[in-house]
Amino acid sequence: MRKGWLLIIMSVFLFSPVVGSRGTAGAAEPIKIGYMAPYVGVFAKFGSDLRDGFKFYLDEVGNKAAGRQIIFIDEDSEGKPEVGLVKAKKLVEKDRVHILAGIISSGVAYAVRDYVTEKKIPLVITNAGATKLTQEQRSPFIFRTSFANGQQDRAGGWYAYAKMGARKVIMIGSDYAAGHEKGDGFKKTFTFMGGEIVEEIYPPLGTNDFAPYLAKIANYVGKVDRVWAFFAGSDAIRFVNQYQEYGLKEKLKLFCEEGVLDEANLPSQQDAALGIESYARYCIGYDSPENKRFVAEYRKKYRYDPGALSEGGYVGAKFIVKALEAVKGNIENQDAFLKALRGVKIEAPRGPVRFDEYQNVIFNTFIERVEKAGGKYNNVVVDIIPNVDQYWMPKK
Amino acid sequence: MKIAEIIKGRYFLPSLVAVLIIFLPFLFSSYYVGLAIQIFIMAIFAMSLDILVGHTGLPSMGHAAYYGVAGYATGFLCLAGIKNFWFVIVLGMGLGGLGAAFFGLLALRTRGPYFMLITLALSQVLWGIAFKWRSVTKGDDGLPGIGRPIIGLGIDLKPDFHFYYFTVIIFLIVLVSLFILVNSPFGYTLRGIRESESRMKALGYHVWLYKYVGFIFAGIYAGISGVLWVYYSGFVNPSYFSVDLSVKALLMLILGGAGSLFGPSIGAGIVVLLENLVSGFTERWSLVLGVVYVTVIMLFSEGIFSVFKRGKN
Amino acid sequence: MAFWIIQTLNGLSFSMMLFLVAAGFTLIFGLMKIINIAHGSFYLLSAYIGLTILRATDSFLLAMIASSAAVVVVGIAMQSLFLRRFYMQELQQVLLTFGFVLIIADLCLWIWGGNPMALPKPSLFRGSIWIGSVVFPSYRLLVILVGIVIAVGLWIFQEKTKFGAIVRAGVDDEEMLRGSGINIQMVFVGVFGLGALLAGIGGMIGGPFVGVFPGVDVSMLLLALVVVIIGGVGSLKGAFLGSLFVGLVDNFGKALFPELSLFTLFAPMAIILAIRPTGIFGKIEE
Repeated sequence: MRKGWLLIIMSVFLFSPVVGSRGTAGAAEPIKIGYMAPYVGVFAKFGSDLRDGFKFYLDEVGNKAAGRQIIFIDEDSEGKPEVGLVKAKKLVEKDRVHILAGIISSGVAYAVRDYVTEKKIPLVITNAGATKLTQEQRSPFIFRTSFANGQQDRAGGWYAYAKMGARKVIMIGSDYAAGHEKGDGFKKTFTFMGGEIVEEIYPPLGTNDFAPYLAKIANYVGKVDRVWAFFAGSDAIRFVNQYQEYGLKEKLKLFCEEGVLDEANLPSQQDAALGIESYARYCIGYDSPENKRFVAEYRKKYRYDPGALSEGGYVGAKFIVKALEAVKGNIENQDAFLKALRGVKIEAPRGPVRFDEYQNVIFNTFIERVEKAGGKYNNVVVDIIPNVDQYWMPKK
Repeated sequence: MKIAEIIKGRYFLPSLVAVLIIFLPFLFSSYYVGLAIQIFIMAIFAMSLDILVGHTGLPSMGHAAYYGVAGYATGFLCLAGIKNFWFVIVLGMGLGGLGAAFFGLLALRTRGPYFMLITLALSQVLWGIAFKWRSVTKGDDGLPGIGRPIIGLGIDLKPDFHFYYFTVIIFLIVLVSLFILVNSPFGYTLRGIRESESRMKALGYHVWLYKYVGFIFAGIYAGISGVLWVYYSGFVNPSYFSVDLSVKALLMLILGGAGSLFGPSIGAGIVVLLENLVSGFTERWSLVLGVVYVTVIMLFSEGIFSVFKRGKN
Repeated sequence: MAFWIIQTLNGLSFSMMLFLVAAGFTLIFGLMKIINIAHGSFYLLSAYIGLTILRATDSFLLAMIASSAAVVVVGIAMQSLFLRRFYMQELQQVLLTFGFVLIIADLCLWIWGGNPMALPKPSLFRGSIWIGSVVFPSYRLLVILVGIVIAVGLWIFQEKTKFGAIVRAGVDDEEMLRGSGINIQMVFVGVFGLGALLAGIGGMIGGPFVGVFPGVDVSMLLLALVVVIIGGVGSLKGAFLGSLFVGLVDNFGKALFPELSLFTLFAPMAIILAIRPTGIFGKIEE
């Protein structure tokens, strides 16, 4: 009996529009942006970086676009598809957001894809890279401001052949969809140019000990030119550290996807990361005035170095706000808003960005290298490959 | 006065709830309908576990195993083009039962804490298979894009509105069948075993066989909830086998009351609502939930759990 | 030849870290019949605290002492304030530990953030040494050494000390222990604290090469579970041999059959569950 009443009371709270929003209640007619990212579990850091970057831009414009106030409502997707879908529904139906943004995990993105298309809510993905979302399963309501898996990898594949002189490569990457999609991107252009992939190794996510795999790689010293690697988070830290511990760093050079040597990992990798090159959509060392300003102010506000995720969130927010300004804040006219969003071209910290016809972002790809300055490890720019889109192919 | 009397009446709350359940989709948007669907599916899962925990006194810590097996089966069948719900649910129940039949043979050789450990380990073996066997299960990426099934009669289950009523009907069928089961001689025997295995043995009951059959029933019903959840969320991945899920079901039983008819369902409601409510409030929702669980167990542990005291038999 | 040496040493170093985590888990279960789901949380907490102390003082030893002490306090508090209340009610005890997992994991996330980190190694062991033509990190040798030392220490404790005898008796037959007049609650608190200590040391030792990040608590628990099931619940010998088995099989499995890597962990566990559920050295239940 008691418990029954407890249930009813909890339901009342849940249903109340006042309670249950982490955003602040707004003034007249504000524009609401619903935001979703994982804040717990292995992706927690990605989620908070992405959110920090997103809010950073909103704060820069005083949380206003074309005179209308912007309200930011945040929910935890936990990186789980069914949770993400439930939270998306809560944001759309309970909090009545006009736009959805965020999303790290491709699983969550797939789960909400049909829902946002049905409900006609614009979704601005600021991280999840699953290719289908802007290819086979694209939707007029889905935009992606981060990257598609394989996008910058294509540029990397070309660079390894054309500029690094690599002809034979072995590949090692995390065994999940993103790992394979990124590997495929690299492979595509590298083999197109005439290179050979000698072996591909895919350790499971969360591999504690790469030593057995490193022993395999050690067999290829002198027989291949480079090792392509993709890992994220703790896997990346372990891999890079162990790569050096087992003496491979000098003997067989790595060429990594940006996640391996992200700014967040460098303090845990230190000398093990020094001098290693990667390709990336964002490089903290990029010398443009916009990026220098962004990095300085981000550091001042948050007290940590912005990485690709911080920039991804920032750019996502900027796209939305610019589109809102183009329609003078009239998001209610959705067709006009979507059209404006498609046409936005901005100068991001990573350089000039815009959407392709499938609403995936086009950006310059950096080739970067880890260097040490003043006791601190950071990535610096070595080269830039301009205008890389999700279908980019080099000229032979 | 009259109104106060009505409210205090025995049938007030249940009637209120019944009305709410029937008219829910008309009163609230699809977000709430989605939550309600979750509650009903989890209620079925919790009830299935209750056969073991509340009625037989077997504290299974790996109940998600049968849920997950049925879930993956649903995923495979759907991706192979089989959309007929009745075919899938029978298969799901069958596989849940089969899984229980197999694991029961292994787990029922032990009791108490060893039983808990073994059931936990068994569900983790399945997790490991689901996680690693990428060629079949796509590993951690899981199988997305599972559409709603066809139940015939031209009813389209794609709108949550329809799926909600469908789930409620399945829930009611499960509820009634379980009611019959636990109030049958079989059910009484199970509870007798829970109270004292040695006494039942002395009375001539083949205790192991009763436990085993109960185990299989639990697996079958768990399978139902696994199938439903996949159709609801459109997705299956190794988290279907997670310890989290098995333990959460146990929490639902503690919160709602094990061994009772509506207890598991109330527990399911509390847990689902709690999770959704708290996460809207604070980023520290996980901490809050942990504190709530610890507090509830410390303060409100039901008497039924005294049957798990070692040394009682 | 070098390949086999390297792989064996790799496997051994991983085994020793596993042993540290599994030993505590098996003791707690063997004596108190509690499945301590929060066992991985001790690893997590210890690694994070150790990291902070290490960054502040640059002394691995100091960090180890501080993190171990902290984890022991948490463990003792958990047992004496909460778990003890449900003496002999394992279900509630397990659910309580689940609540603690959520609490500790989120507190750590709150304090240290979600960024995965690796503990710096002790300054003496940062280099790599040559074994024949191959390079091997010296830290891993330290891990093997520490593991063996602790294993020997635990063996001495179990076989040669009075407390160890009490624990052995309790694992074998708790009723007898209860009847013997010894303050069983103190024994429980002591063992739980010991278990936490071992897991905490495991966190410091594992921190430099496994790292610390949200989710490592769950992975460590799973590994401990596999070791204990294979080696046998309640048996330190089982935990040691089980760790050796798991560490070496996992390592060689990955090196020789990379496609099967997780199977090499779970297949042995599944086989043991089917044949002898309480593990190779576990006692036969009742």
